[in-house]
Parts: sequence; structure tokens; C-alpha cells
Amino acid sequence: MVQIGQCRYLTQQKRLLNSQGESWELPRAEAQVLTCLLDHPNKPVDKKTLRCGSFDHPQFSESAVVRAVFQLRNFLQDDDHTLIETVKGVGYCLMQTPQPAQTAPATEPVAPPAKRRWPLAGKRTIFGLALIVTVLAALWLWVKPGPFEPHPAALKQINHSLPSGEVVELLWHSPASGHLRQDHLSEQIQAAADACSEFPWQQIYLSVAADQQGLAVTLAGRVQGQLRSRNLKISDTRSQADFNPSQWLNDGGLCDQ
Amino acid sequence: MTNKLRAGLLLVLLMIIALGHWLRPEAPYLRLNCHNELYDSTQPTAGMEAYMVADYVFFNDSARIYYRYFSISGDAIASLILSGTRDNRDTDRLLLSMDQFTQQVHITDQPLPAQLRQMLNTIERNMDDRGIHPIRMQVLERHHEHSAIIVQFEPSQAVGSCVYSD
Repeated sequence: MVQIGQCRYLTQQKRLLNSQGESWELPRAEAQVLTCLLDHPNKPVDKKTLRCGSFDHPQFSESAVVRAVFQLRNFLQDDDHTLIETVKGVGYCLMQTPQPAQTAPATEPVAPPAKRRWPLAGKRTIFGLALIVTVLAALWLWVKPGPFEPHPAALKQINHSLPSGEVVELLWHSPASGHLRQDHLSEQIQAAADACSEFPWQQIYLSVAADQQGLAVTLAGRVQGQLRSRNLKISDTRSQADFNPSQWLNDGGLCDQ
Repeated sequence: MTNKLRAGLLLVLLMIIALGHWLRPEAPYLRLNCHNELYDSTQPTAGMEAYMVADYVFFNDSARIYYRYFSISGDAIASLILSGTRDNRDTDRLLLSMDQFTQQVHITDQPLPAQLRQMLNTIERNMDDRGIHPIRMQVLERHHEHSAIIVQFEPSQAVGSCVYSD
């Protein structure tokens, strides 16, 4: 077992233990790099040696060595690179206070198996989550509804054919209850629309007021591609069943744009 | 979990919150303008009695409704202002709690339009015991290219077309 900073390296198991009891079983590259560095404490070790280890030919690429050093520093919490120094143009140097290496397999503690260190978890997790968030956000933005989404169909719809052949939709959005008769009102409106020489509306939205004292009519249509609409609020405060806007209807009130 | 990982997760969480806030579909500012022709079927002439312009203005969670009444000749008859809060962010089905009401009725020799009298009665009746006048606006149809919607108001059940700007 070798002490490296605040960590201990179990040479036979190729496992690093930190002071919190976390352990990391080193992958091949990390194990080879750390073994090489431990073989030459306080001396620069060139990258080729680190790549070759005990072999004649390089076992890893140079970038694998760089990545292994990064991983080791990360686990050793060697943020300021005082344990594993970078020697420019050469390689790396493990700074070790003189300490005899211990070979004590019997006394080597067994690392807790449940805890596993993920050296790149931080950055990879952040990157992965950020990527997921970005993709989801892009998807959501793509399908994002506009400021207003239409709502449900009318409670009652009547498609009325005009003498010209065009079809007008009468869309009732109030329940057919109360003393005002929707059927009678629909007939009056259809008759008024038929009487127009030119009827500019394609939809007629209708609603009897909750207090049964008014009829709201919204006329909507397109004229040369432009949307036209009119809101009519017809009151009858008598609260009687003979609510009848026929005079106004007969005067051609629906025909105007 | 290391401190770096915790910091990273916290950063991601903040990013999600910021992104969510930025991508909120609801505009913080929204204005609906609705123009209405008022008729009184009990009047023998049965022509247009007056007209009313309704403006619904939303800014973040606050809501304000202006009802302005004008005679045929364009003279101001009355203005009603309801102020309150927007209870949800769903522009498809806005829920409003209006708790302040002010009215200004100009003295004229003409009777008030029937719809205005109805509106005053409705506002008074619809106040709950906390003094809140709840309103729901449900979109029936939309025409994004013209910034127009057809909307139904509750509790009055009235339908109307409005132009919006955000």
C-alpha cells in the first residue's frame, strides 16, 4: 500500500482509497500511469514511458495518458497539480514524500463494495443533463402552442345553406335551457341571413346570457383574405320568452360588414 | 457525491429553472381589445344603441379590465374598471379574480344603455363574500395571422371576438 496525498493506493488490487472511504478500481490506463509514476517518484516521467509501462510498445495513446492523469488528479483531489505535476515538454512527475512502500496484502483493507467512484460523473453528468434539457427545450419550443389555443366545439352547431349556396355555421355556446328558445332564435337568424343580398359571414357565434336577458352574437368571416368580425350584444331586460331581435334583423343588421 | 458534482447539478437545476422561465409560453404582457355594438331589442327603433370597447390588460399576474361605453355620436357614457389578479398562466382558459371595481358614469339626458345596466348588475351580483368577482375567459377560436380570437366569458356566457397584442 502506498500513500499518495490523502489517498492510499492498494498496489495489488490496483485500487485507490480516499479519506472518505471511497474506492476506485483503476482502469488499465490509470493503473499503468500511476504505477509508472510510483516507480519514479519525484522524477519526471516522459509520456512515452507512461504509454509503454512495462511493455516495449505503447499500450495507449498519448491522449489516453492525458485523460488518465486527469482522472487520477480528480480522484486524488489534486486540483492544484501538486501531487502530479506537469513537466512541460516531458511528461508528469509524481511528488512523493519519502515513504517506504508497504507490501502488506494481508493488512490491506478491503474497500467497501457499495461505494463506487465515478471520476467523470460531474462533467459528464452536467454535459448529459444539459444536452437532455436542451433537446427537450428545443422539442418543447417546436411544439409550443401559440398564445391562444382554440377550445372546444360549440354546444350546438347548425350548418345553414344560404341561397347563394354558401354555408354558414351557427355555433351555439350556451346551453339550450332557460326561457329563450335557441331553435326559434336560430330560425330567425337564418331567415335574416337568407334575406341579405350578400352575406359576408361564415361563422355566427351565439350565446344567450346567463341571466337570459341578452344575446351575444359574433359574426366572423373573411373578405379578400382579411378577417372581419362584429360583436353584437342584444339586450332584452324584460326576461320574457318573446325575446325577439327580429326588427333589427329585418332591417338587415346582419348583412353589414 | 463530490462537491463538484453537487455544484454541477445545482448549476443544471438553475439552468432548467432559467430556461423554463424564459420559455414560458405565456407572455408577461397581454392585451385584448374587443369592440361591441349594443342593441336593445325592447326599443322600438331597434337600431344600435351605443357601443362598448372592452380592454383586457394583463401584466404578469395582474389583470385589469376597462369597459368604455360611447354613444353613437362618440360621446363617452361611462367607464368601468375592474382590477385584480390573473390566477393562472393558461392563455387558453384565463382565470381572473377581480377585487377592485370603479365606475364612472357620465350624466347625460339619455338613459343608460341596457347592456351597461346589465353589466353593473352582473358585477354587483357576481361578487362573492370576499368581494372578488371571478371571471373566466375561454378561447373558442383563434386566428393567429390576424391576432384575433373568439372568446367566451364566464359567468356572463357572452361570446365575442377580440384582437390581441403581446
